[in-house]
Amino acid sequence: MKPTRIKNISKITREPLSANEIDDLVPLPPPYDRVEDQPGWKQLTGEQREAYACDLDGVVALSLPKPKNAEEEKQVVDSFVSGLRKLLSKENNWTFLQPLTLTLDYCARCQTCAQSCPVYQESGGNEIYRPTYRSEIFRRLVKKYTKRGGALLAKLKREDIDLNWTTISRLYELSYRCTMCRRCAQACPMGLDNGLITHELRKLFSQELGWAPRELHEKGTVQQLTVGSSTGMKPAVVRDNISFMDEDLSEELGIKIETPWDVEGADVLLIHNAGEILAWPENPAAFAIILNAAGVKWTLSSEAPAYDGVNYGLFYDDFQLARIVTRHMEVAKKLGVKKVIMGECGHQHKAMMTIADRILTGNLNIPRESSLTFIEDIVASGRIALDPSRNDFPVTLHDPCNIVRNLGIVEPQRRILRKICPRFREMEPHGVNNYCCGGGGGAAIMSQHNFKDWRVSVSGRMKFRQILEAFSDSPGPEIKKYVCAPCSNCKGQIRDIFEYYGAQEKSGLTYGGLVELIVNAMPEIKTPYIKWDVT
Amino acid sequence: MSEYIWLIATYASIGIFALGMAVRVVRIARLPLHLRWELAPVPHERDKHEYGGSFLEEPDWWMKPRERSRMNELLFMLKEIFFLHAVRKNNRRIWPFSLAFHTGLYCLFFMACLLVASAAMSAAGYAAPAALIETPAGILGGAAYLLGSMGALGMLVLRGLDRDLRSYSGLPAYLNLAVLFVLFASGGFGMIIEDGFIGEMQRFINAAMLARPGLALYHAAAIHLGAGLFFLALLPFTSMVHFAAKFFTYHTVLWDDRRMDAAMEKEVGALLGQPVGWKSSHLGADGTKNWIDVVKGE
Repeated sequence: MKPTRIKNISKITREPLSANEIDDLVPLPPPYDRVEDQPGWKQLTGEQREAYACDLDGVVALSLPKPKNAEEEKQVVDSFVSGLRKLLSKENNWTFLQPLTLTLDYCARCQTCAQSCPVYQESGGNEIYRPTYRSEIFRRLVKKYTKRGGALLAKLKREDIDLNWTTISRLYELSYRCTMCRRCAQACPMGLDNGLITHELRKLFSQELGWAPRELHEKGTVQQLTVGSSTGMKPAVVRDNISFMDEDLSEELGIKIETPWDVEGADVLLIHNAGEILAWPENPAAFAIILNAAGVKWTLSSEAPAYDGVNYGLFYDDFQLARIVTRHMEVAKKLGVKKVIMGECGHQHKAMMTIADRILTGNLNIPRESSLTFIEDIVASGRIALDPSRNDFPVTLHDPCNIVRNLGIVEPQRRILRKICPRFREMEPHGVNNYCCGGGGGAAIMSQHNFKDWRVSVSGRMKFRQILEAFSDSPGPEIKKYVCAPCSNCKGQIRDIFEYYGAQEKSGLTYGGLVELIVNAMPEIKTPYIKWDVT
Repeated sequence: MSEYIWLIATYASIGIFALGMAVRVVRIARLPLHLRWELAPVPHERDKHEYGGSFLEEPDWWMKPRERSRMNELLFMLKEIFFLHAVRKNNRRIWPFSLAFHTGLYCLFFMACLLVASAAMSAAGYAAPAALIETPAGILGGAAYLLGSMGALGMLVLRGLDRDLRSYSGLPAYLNLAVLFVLFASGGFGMIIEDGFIGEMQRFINAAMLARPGLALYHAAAIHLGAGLFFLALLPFTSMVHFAAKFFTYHTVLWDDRRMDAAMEKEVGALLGQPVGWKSSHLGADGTKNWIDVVKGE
């Protein structure tokens, strides 16, 4: 692979700065090791190349239109510089100013972080995916354009980077080649955080230039704030869907499933990622089965947006994040619940449980707890009968970064699995040292043009390798194997990886949440709850 | 005038160092409260830190007392400071060199502390026994110069030869390492060619402490002290002050899992009252609306 120099980011070229080739990627174990057997990547059409910025790595995640004229280019450059200044101001960025300043000012450029980044490693060491590549460009631009004498110093230090439309559009795409898993921050000897640089860059683009991926912004936070859910479901539709699911599964399983709505004074308000209701209804249904069986006084809310725990603001925009989390808590306050329980959704956990802690003031700061701890308490208490022999198949656990590395919720889910899955085995590494599924930071829901190909074969490659290695004692399709991923975004990414490689047919792999395994172990459920043909 | 030069240089570099460090530390400390951004493992978790668990693993965690261990934090920091644990774990290539020059710096620091303590005792009319000062100072100095030179030179060579490091190293990175190498190597050279090299350092510190002019320094000692004073004055203006920044990255960012309390709520209230200047249309900010208005006005 041709090395890419930092200053080349601003070089206007016909070809991408660094092309992705499947041959360059770290090989996967059999039967996925033959490049010629892999589906390959979607090629961009001439029209797409003409219309959108695609000169970073030949991948287009964002559909950024090219500027029409020099005047437009200049406006973009001016706005970017103005955004840089705002990122460093107390008024505009108090939310992350201290961590950002520390990361900008104290990096020793030792490259220790690069060893821990799955995207960089699995890409075969593509320079532009190195955690410090994007950070160093950003750092040099900050110094040059926001510090007194910055331009002169940049020249003297030989750290000068031209700021033009090409630099900015490439940086924009590049800010969506990091899943913000923060493994690099764990490895950094200074405690600095390249994942945060990604976060802040995305914020600058969103909050100053109005640039954000359609899936996160228009279809994501904007839709959630206007309609109620990033899935587009309105309150009545959510209720209909759940009601249909309750009826359908009650009939199939031979038990009564009933989901309570808008119960004032309930002990618990459960908020799911609404994507579960559409893509994996067995997950919310499993919650209902467990909570009802345990006698919990719980409720869902049908008031927008409290039936959707998604908060994509976490990935790109502080204000969208605050708007959504505030609305969530206003509904919880209105219902008068004692606590809010996060469904199996990693970024919902992080947005509501820690980030929001210093946004929600007064009586909006209602206690928030993970479903993993809440459900473990139920399982450990013996309130529901469980028969582990019903889960007698190989199971491994994926640790969602936002729940495990960012919140330190590591053991409750493991204690459950050890109790109900006799053939549970860990991936290596696991727990807080886990690898991201490759769909973190919003990537899992982004699929424009050829971006999905990139995220399953580059950013998701390490996770796929880990899964295959965890089941290396039974690699063939004849033994069915379950990847437990208690996070909607991770499940979406794992689904896409399995589909891309045909892993269900070739290796007998399926995936799902944690609560599904619990329900599968409940003797009162007559038919198996785990469906092995989930796609 | 020339007889005052070393004294002036000494006080100036100490002054620049102290002032520079104070400004940098105060600047970081005065940055506003930020949103929580902790990262596991958080070592002050008393029983859970070994696997990276946190208090959030407990059901109804807000009703339970937090079980913190300052000792765990201290042990983590000692491991990080003296063994460069994160580098050892994640970057074995640079670890031996980095460890060598960091250990060299610590030895140099402890040697300087001993000599300053001895000078202070001497100024107060007490003569410290050689076994307590000179011998350990000699051992520390020897270790500092040997390890420091090897480490700084190794890092310098690695930075220049290794493509990964070279691409990200600007001139300052090489200059900093070069200054460190000169500092350590001149000290080592001085110890080899001059019998009473450490004694000469001691005399210099005595003279500086008592503001006694007229001290003559030659050859290796002059280069060594010159490099030392230059290094001291340079330090606050380089990324080498990460030893101070690291306190904040860990304690006020990665390990800061404090919940909102009354004082914090007041602080957050003031921060939310600030005007928002971001320009994107979806925010509806106009430079006068504050954070609360912008969040409510979607």
